Amino acid sequence: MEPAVDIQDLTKVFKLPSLKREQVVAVKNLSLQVAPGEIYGLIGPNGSGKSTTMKVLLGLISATEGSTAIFGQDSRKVGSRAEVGFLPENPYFYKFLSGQETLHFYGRLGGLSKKEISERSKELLALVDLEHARDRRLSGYSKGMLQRIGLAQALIQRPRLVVLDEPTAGVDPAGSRKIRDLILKLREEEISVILSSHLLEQVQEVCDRVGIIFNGKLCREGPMEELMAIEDQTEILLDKAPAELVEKVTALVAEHEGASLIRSGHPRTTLERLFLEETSGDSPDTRS
Amino acid sequence: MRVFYFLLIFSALILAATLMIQNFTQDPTRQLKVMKDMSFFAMSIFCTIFAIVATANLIPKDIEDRTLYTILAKPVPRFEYLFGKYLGSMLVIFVSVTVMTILLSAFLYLRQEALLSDLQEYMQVAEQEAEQAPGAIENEGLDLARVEASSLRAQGPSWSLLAAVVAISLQAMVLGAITLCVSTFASSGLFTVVVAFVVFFVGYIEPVVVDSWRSSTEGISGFSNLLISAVGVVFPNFQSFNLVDGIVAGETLPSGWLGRITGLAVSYIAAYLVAGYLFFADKEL
Repeated sequence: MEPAVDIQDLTKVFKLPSLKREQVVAVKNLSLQVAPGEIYGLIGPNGSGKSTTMKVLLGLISATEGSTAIFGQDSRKVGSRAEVGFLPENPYFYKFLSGQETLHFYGRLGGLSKKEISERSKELLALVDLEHARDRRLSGYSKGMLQRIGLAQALIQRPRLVVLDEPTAGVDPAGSRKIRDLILKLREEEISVILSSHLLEQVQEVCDRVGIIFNGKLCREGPMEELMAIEDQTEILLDKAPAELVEKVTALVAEHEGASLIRSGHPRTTLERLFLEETSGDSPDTRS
Repeated sequence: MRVFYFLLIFSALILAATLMIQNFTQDPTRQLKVMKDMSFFAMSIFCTIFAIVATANLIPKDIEDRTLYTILAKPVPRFEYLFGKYLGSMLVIFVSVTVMTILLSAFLYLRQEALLSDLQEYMQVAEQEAEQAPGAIENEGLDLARVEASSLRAQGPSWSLLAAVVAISLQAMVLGAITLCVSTFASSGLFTVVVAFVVFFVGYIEPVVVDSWRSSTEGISGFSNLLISAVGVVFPNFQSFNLVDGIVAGETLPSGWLGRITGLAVSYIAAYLVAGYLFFADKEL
């Protein structure tokens, strides 16, 4: 099966507008693939080349060298974008449009008929929990609502690939969790996702595979479980274990040559979970 | 919303002109001429400013707000986006010009009827007096009144008003295309506006300056001729769209005027939109 995203030896050089003819190499020989139905996280510090990679993939800028393809089609071709939905970082939409009108606008751009748009927008407004604000102008939307309507417009033409650039940037924890849950729903629908984020815990929660990009180069890549595993350490979580049992386990480890106990104690919840427990009335499982 | 405010101001302007003109001239025909002059001037100013200022920020604003990313991430070719923006801007001008033309025609008609009514009253009295005491002076006064009435009807709403409206609209469309072209490569909206106004100014005075120079200079060099021709090609001759003065004065339009100015406008619009697309096609966003 052809990959959702196929980037081969991508290099992008920006020429700076100066007399010295300076140039910046934003991406250097980057190759990566995203399988159909996979959620791929592209992480890296500011200026590492994440957004540049996404923009080349979407045809917003052209590659200096290399190739990019979406489901086997050259991504420079306009037709390839029929399969793609994009949510840029901190997006603005036309503020004089309401939520419903925004989806109608982008649905028309995606080539949908009025009837299709009408049905699809009802579905998406329910999905992103914005039915109550469908007729409100976007100028009255909060940051989290704008991100959610942005996600809805990215999904309007039922794309097989969704590109998300910092989807939770500037969004409060509750809104951020809603967006995270939406991304997980995309996986259930076998929609491929490539996302970049600085919120590493969220990337850890949703992504199947991760690529770490630094100075324009992909320096590490692989399935999440493999990347996260510290191979020479083992973790055992006990539920309602009495102190005597913990002592026995500790003693057993001490008897074994070569093995050592690194830490013993209660696992920690996350600040995000604590925040949500206090503010939403939900009781998410504190166990990781 | 600002367009709506301007239309309100335009209506108020015509109304004020209608009420104030009679203080400056008692000549009924002249009153209607001044009304038309002021209205066409306001219409032309609005179309020129809107075509430049509103069009200048269409693309830069979309880039700055990143709205352009979400639009071009859909299967939308760049030329469609560019052409769509241009058409949208011109549609606003078209609707505004239509409203202004209707308002002008309405006010012109009402004023014309009021003036004709006064003239009719005078003519009735003059006819009665001429019947009772026929004489050369009374008949001469009646004849003058009849000529005045005919002249008044000629100055009222007529199809020739549309000629002026078409010319103003075509000029605005050419200006809009020039502005859109410049905005595809300009670094700021202010730069785009300034360049567009400079092109408008040069295109307006160039024919006059060249004619004056040619008539005062003996033997122009080949290079100078080439330069003048190049300027003439790049900068549209906006004098060609200046039909208002003649129409208000009641002159007959030259034959084939519509085809000529439409052909000129379409050529320049196509050329500047194509140039704009060439700049925009490879623009890094």
